[in-house]
Amino acid sequence: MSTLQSLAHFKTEIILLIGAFITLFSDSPKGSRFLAGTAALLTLTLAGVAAFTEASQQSLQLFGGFFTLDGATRFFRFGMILAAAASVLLGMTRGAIALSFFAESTALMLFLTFGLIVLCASGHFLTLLLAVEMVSLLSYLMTGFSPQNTRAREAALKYLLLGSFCSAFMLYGISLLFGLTGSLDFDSVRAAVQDGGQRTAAAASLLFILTGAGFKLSLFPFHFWAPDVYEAAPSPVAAYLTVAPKAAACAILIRLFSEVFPSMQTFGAEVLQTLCILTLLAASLLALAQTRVRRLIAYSSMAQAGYLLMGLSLFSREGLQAAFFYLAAYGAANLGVFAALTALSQRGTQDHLEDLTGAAWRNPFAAGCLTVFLLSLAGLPPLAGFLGKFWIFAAALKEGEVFLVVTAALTSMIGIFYYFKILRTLYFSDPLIALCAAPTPLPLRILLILLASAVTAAGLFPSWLLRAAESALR
Amino acid sequence: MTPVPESHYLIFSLILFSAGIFGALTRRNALGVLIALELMLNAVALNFVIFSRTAPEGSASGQVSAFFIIALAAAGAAAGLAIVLAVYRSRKSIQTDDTNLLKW
Amino acid sequence: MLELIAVKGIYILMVFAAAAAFASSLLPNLFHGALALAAVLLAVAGLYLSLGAEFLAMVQILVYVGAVMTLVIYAVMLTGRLEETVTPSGRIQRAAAGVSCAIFFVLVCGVLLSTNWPAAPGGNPLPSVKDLGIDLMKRHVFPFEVLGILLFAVLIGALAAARREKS
Repeated sequence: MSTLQSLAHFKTEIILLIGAFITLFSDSPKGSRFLAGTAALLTLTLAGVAAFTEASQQSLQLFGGFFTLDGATRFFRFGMILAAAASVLLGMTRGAIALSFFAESTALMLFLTFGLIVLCASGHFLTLLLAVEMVSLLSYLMTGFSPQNTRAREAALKYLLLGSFCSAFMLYGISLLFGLTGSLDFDSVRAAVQDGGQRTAAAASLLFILTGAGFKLSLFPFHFWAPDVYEAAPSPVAAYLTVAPKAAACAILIRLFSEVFPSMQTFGAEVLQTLCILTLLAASLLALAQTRVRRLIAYSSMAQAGYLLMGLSLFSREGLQAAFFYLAAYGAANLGVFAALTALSQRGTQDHLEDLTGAAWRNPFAAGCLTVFLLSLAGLPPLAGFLGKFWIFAAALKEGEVFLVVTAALTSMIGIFYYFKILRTLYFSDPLIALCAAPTPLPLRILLILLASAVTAAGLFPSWLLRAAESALR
Repeated sequence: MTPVPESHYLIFSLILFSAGIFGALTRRNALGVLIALELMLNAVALNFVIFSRTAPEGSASGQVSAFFIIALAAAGAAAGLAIVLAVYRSRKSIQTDDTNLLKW
Repeated sequence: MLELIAVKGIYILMVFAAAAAFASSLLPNLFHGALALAAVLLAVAGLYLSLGAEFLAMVQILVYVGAVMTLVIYAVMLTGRLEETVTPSGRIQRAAAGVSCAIFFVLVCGVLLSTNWPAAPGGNPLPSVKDLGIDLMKRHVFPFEVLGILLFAVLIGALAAARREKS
């Protein structure tokens, strides 16, 4: 489709960009978060409406094949917008992010959302690499958006150095693919990889490209940045980074294997399943050793990425559908965890696990929500995480991957143990602490209610989310 | 065709890339790592230009891709130097071993 | 005859650039390392010329050697402490890094040499700067616009991240 015709189907993204500029310049001089936050929320609402009311539902190749607008793009686009809205709401809470960085970080979050949507939709390796770099560079920078917090800046530096190193490998792989095919368009690359005899070079470039995706998913050998970043980054940024880039990495993995390397799915499945098992084991064992809450959550989200990868690596319809469902459940629960932790945290504490001692008596509402989210992440019924995990395991069993399922079941068991470690601290009674009650600010309260009800509703009535996941596969 | 065979160019760019990897793995100064990363990206851009000479129908798109890589490297350098400066402000050091890079 | 000189020139350029590349990763003084990187970038610009990519050679010199290198050298001067000290544990790390680099080089070299890269007979026609501009603005207009957005957003982010906080 030509450029001008394509613009008509590009409304959501254009709204996001315009809104990002407006948000950037609505930094109110009096030092309130209201103006910029409202601008961003309004933008996201408009973009969400534009995405939801889109007339055509068929698959379109926009801008001459650079942007694929299909079911998967629509599913992920809507999810990204929701996650961004939740993070902006979280950022509007006092103390979640420094006031002097609020307008910039909110605007950059909209730019980041744009980059993630382009990444999910890329139909050409140039779009892919530009979107990956946009997402990466903005994530590095936003991690450091924390004044007087040396740890955040160090985490940003570590993230940047490791991330650029991995993405250089990815770019090298893409350059080899270009040499193999003379084109970077997904369709022509697929054609060349399928009929050409150059299996070694194609496999090598696939491995290089998987390095980049593995980094974004914080899979086992590429995970060193994750605990530092999720611990030290400002809460809204950390919440968004644990969810949205992982979703985008899943989307692009599926797209690569279905549109570029369908001939290499068996090889890809072996690589991905090895990574998946290593990630699950490493994440669960390292999570047990953690004494800081957000580091623990970082390792838990690494393990969650392992379960997602398990669903993806099956390349079966059931596996993908279950993975999409699980992704949505994981996203809502993880955003919720960060929101609840922000509500529970006190000024001057370092997010140690013992700082949460008895927090349930101080703020029963936030602690109750945190319980719901953690139980869903642990995969206990009747919450959404349970169904997602159950379907992923069922899909894997159907494909005969018994070893994978046994490992995953084992690590889920360990998972229940460390999630309960947080819960036990939370409800540990201490009459002295119980005296100073702390109310939850309104935006945070709304966010927590919405997320907790989403997690519960998707667990009790999964059909709507399943239907959405199915539409993503069309 | 170029007077020098394509494979020699490719191996040269691989040497650049490997030198970059070596630097990125061994430098203890964050700026040193950034310099090494620039080397790696340059090897990628060079690969695109090499393939633009030979790959079927790739002449313009190869050079355009190299152009994009150069622009990305510049953006990456800007982001990297900003973060390096921010770390330097708060720590007065950008040695990566001072910032416990490999802690888990 | 002329061709032979050109071939020799290209190989000399490659050897020079490879030496400078290792120098930029090895020299203990970071300022020297940055200068060696500038030398590599200039030599690669020369290789771009030998491959018929005049426009890219110019972009390389303007953007890389002109802008990026200035930025890097400025940051090197600003943050001081130019000398790297090599500790005993650092030496082991260097050796390990050297070995893994060598393994990587041999493996990828094997892939590069064993692959039969498809080639258009007689090579591709060289695109003129005009062709490149048209290609960039027509076929590649979408990535070009995304690149513009990327540069803008990264610039804002870099400004904010490097901002001095009034405490």
